[in-house]
Amino acid sequence: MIEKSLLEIKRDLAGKKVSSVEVTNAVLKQIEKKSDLGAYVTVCADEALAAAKEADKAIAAGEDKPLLGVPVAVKDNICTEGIRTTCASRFLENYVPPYDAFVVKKLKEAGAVIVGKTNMDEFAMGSSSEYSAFKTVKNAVDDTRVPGGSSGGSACAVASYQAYMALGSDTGGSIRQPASFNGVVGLKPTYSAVSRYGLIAFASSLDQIGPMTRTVDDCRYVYDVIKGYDKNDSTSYSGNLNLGEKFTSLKGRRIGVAKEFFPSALSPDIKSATEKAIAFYKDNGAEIVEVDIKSFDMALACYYILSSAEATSNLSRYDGIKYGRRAEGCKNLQEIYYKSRTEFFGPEVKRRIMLGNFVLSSGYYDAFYLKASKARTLIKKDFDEALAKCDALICPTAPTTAYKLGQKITNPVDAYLGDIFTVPVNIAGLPGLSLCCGKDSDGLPIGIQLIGKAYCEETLFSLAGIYERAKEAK
Amino acid sequence: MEKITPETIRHTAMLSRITLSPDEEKNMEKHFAALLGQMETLDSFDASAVPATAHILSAVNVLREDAAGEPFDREKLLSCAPERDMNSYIVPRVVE
Repeated sequence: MIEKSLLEIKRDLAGKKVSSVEVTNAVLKQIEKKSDLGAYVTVCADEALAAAKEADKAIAAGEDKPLLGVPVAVKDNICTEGIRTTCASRFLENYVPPYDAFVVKKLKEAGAVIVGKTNMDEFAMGSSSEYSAFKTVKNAVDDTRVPGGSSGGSACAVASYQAYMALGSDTGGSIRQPASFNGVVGLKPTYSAVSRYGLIAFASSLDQIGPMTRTVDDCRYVYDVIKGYDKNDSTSYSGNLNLGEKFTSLKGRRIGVAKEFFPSALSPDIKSATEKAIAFYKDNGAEIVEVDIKSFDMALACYYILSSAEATSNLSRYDGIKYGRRAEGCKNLQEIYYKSRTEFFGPEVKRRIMLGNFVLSSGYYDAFYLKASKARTLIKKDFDEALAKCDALICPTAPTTAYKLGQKITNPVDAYLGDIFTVPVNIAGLPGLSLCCGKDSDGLPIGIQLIGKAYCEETLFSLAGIYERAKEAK
Repeated sequence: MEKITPETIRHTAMLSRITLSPDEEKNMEKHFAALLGQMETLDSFDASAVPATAHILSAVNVLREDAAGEPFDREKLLSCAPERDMNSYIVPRVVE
């Protein structure tokens, strides 16, 4: 039962073949069985079972809602009223939000049963989920390897049947890269398509919430539930979010490939799997178009400057006064700030705050922050021009498959290089979807990324769905 | 690119309201040096004629209606405070 897709279990629930309490209990049992993977920070069994009972009553009364009775998980940087939301940080260890995030409200309105909050890199800063202040998350396919990050807990939970869907957040690849490392589907929607209200901010001009699922159809289904305008997010888009096209044939479709997508450091297995995926689209009627993203090489530096600058501003709110923890024995206000931030922020968060303050500080602003903001203009322009020639771009999601736990923890800059294919998409504000396109010689999943025009998620779902169905049919 | 000195690290730590141990300072210096090496890729373009992008959206000045709304519940908000007294946040004395 737990291995079914979200849409399958939804049909079974609606058809009364199984109750929500039964499904929820089965998922909770699996969470317990797989607890060594560290996918969850908090499991809310009591609340989940209460919600499941309510869902069963509603189903018995003939109600139908998109996610009625379906057990799902939520990344622990998304606020859930009454359920602690830690961001995997000691700073917020005991923080119980007084409100639900917009997306959590949407899930609840759709009848979903939230089984728990998933583990992550502290404040979503990291690509391996090893920077959780509580416990490391392990890869669902090989538990000696990282699950990717920062939404490593969400990816692991979905891949190891500990939820039918999990929400993640993506600032520079935090949905797509872990999806790729665990062999699941992950969507980073167009910036502004999903409200960030209640998402604990990392880098506000880049952050987006999105679904992680086991199938493309599940991903589309959940995206339809969580997207939409929200007055509480001033960057929420009130226009038409459905500019994509739904199709089942690749005839007449154009897919863009840039030579920049194949750097020399790319693992041979990933290069070969990506080429095979491109060949699939070509063999099935799509035209492969060569495009240029000349600014591609600048994206990583641009990202780490902009995201750290925004993070330093966003994380200045952790002052030990209004919420979160306060260090003990502080004699004055400055001591509260210094001791609380020194004691409760982890090493990677401190690095990013420091970098952000450095690039914004007097004498360095023009050389770093301003220059990165200008590079952003070029990156966006290059992607817009490339996408004007095609329906979507295709590239690897990450330059490697899942690496060993601890392998990159002593060299953070090396870990940052793993984000080369995902960060440009956030910089340009575009939608990106990762899906599994094969395995490497160690049997580890490889992901490909489809990048679309703004608000054209449906085009990505159509392209990904055609590929997924053909792969299943084999 | 700039040379990172221990003074730069200490000044940035002060701006960040974070205290670093001598070992942490050294590690941070190395980390900054490695990162700034990566950032040299930005030197490859002439930025003089390019406008900056702070935000990819075209929206400006998004304002809500000037209408009374439902405020957050005071008790719920204060319940998150690390230290409180009745309806106030408690901080050490800031005015002598």
